[in-house]
Amino acid sequence: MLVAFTLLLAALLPLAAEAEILALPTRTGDAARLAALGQGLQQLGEDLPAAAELELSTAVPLTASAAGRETAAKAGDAWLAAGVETVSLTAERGPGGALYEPVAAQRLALYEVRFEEAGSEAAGEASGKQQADTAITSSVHSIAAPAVTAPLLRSPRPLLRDGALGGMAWLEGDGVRSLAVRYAGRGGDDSWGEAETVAAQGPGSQLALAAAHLDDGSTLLAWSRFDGQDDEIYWSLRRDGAWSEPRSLATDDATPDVTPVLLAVPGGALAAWAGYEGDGYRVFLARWDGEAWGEPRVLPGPGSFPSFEAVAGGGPAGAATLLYRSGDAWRVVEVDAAGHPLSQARQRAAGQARPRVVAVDGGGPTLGWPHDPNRSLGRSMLRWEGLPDPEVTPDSEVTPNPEMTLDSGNAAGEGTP
Amino acid sequence: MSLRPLHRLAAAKLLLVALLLTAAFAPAATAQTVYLAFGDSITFGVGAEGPPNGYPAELEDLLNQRGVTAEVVNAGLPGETTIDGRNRLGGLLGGVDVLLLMEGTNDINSDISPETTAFNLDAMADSAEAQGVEVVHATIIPRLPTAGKDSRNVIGGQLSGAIRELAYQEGRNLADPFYVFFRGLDDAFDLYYVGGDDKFHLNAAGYDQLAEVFADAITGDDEVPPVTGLVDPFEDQQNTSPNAQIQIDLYDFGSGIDLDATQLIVDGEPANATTGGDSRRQTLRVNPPAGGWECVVIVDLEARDTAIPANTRDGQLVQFVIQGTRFIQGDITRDCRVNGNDLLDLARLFGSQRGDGRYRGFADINGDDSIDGTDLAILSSNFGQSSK
Repeated sequence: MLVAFTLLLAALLPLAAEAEILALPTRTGDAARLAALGQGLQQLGEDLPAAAELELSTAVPLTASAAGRETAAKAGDAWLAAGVETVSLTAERGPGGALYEPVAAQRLALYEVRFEEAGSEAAGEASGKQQADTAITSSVHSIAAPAVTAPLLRSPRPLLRDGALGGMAWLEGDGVRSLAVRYAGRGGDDSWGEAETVAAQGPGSQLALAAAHLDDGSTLLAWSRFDGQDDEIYWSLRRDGAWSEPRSLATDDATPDVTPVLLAVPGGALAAWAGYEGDGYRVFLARWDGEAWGEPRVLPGPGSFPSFEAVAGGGPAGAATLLYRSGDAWRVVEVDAAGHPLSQARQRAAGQARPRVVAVDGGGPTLGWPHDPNRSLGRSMLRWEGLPDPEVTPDSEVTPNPEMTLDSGNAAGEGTP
Repeated sequence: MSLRPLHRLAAAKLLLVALLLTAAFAPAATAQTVYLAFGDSITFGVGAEGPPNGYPAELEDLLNQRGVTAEVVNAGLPGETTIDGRNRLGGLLGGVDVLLLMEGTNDINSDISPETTAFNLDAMADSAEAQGVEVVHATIIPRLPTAGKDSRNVIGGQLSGAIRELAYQEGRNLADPFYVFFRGLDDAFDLYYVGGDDKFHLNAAGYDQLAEVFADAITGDDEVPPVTGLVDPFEDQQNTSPNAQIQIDLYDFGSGIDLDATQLIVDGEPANATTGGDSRRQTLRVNPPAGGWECVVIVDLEARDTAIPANTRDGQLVQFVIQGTRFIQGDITRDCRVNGNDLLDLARLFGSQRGDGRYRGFADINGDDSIDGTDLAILSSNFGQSSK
């Protein structure tokens, strides 16, 4: 190989000035596809066999692992997955002389992923397993994403409008500590509008971006932002083509508020996040009524990493379920569209694998557990219980907080799609 | 045989005297120190094969060998972030003398900022100290280049810097595995568990090494040279202002920084840095040259501490890119020149294809999944050119 290299080098050097300059190479990362696979696998939860193996169109066999905070959204009968593709150009040395591939350029990527079961009960019986080794195949194809030139991209969040892709929000910047919040709308002709700045690069981290498209046509974003002292939950609303000035959702108490999630509900949206209070973290829940945020409520027990898991009428009276880790248990709280907690259920955490709420009925929620090397995928049916914690008072009205209203006269948007 | 009451009394007195004499002349019993090793899967020991898992058991042996009568309790919980750690710690501190606090790796995966992680670690340490428990902070384990997130350890490095600053500000002890595994060992790659999907767990030998790092910090054996905290501009920062001032915070939790033997090298030339601080923490600042920085700026650090023999650290510290920089195709090393260094990198990987162990995307200049003559042609076409 060295001989061939040397001969080629000798032949090519005299031609140096004549050679054609080719375009930068691009690389397709598997992260976004994996995100869709993880979400899709969970969506299939109830019928999924113990040892389901997924195979990508790239013929890379994969076993789905625990669901995280990946970016994938259900759009009709397919899943939309967003990711970041990277181009690596240089080398560095890391631990023990290991070779690193620094990112030289990145771009947003979108995929549409469809799943199909092609299982065989007979195969399962033949292998002596209790459950069939149903094969779940997926097809993945790329969708054009907004063109971005920033050197570093993170947290792409596709936004669905009427079940179709309607926009995308993401973080971009010059480094992991200097990220701006950006957005691009998608027109009816499947073209992307000009990217808009929702929040400029801050004094430190802007992370954990969450996005929701609301019933009234507006778009709501929330993220954690370092304000020079600690992390706070910031939000901005896009209405009539302009973004509101980013503001803190909760009163700044000099203690961290992090990892927000958003959910569109009839008449507004719900936000939940982990906030430090007293001597530990609790889960806070607040409702956006279209014009203002209500006072945040504290949900039962210690809490971290909330996620909205089921929507629109899943329970007997609720609009959504909120799942979070609470001490040594997983806790599910059912809330109505006004953000009032209605019921709760708990499941002792057997490990760190994060479950998902795969079904809700009047008796209680059903948790689906992902497959991991130490436990099979399975389900836990929980029973609703009361809400004994005194700090949760399901009052009847949302009290608007005058500090957290939408100031439409102070728009910060840079353009319209 | 039974004794009469008088004889029993005399016997009891004799026994008491004997016990008192034994107590007076016997060597004093060493009190046992209880260490609580608190953290995530790395404390738990994921990646090690067979018991004992993790570093705590090995640390207990090491401390006892060094004359510290110790019990080290493993309180690692796989997957835990500092948010859940803050909620969990309170019930575990009873009977504990020293808290060994190493957590934050999972915060990086969970979009939690280094500031919040440091806040949580400080809150945990405060709650321990309020109960009379001494605290030893620890930086995190660096990740392998194949890790799915922060594969270059940019965030991990910033978090480790924040933990060092926290330990300095609060006057707490620090174990620094981030430095040891990232820069301090020639064979660090062999100490990682590479059998799973994750890329930041250690194998059994790695956990033994981690135990050594903790043991050195506890017993005061200084094996670590000065380490960094704030680095501004940060590693791989793009679009950096040409007039940016370079600022580096240095720490030494052992013998202290030997400032006379410590310097910054900027683009290969010793820099005239201003300094300020004390022997445990120094801030070095370098102003931009007239006309500003150009292209890519590479900052090396040569640092010594006052240990005998001195612990030294020489090598690249940070590299950042100035606004408006455009790289020429074939500039594999990204130093704004296409020269022999790029050729050497290409030669080393020549003939490999995506899927090979030798293949590296950065050298596949035209992106056709093969490092071949076409890439060499592109490099050759620009050989000798500079974008500075």
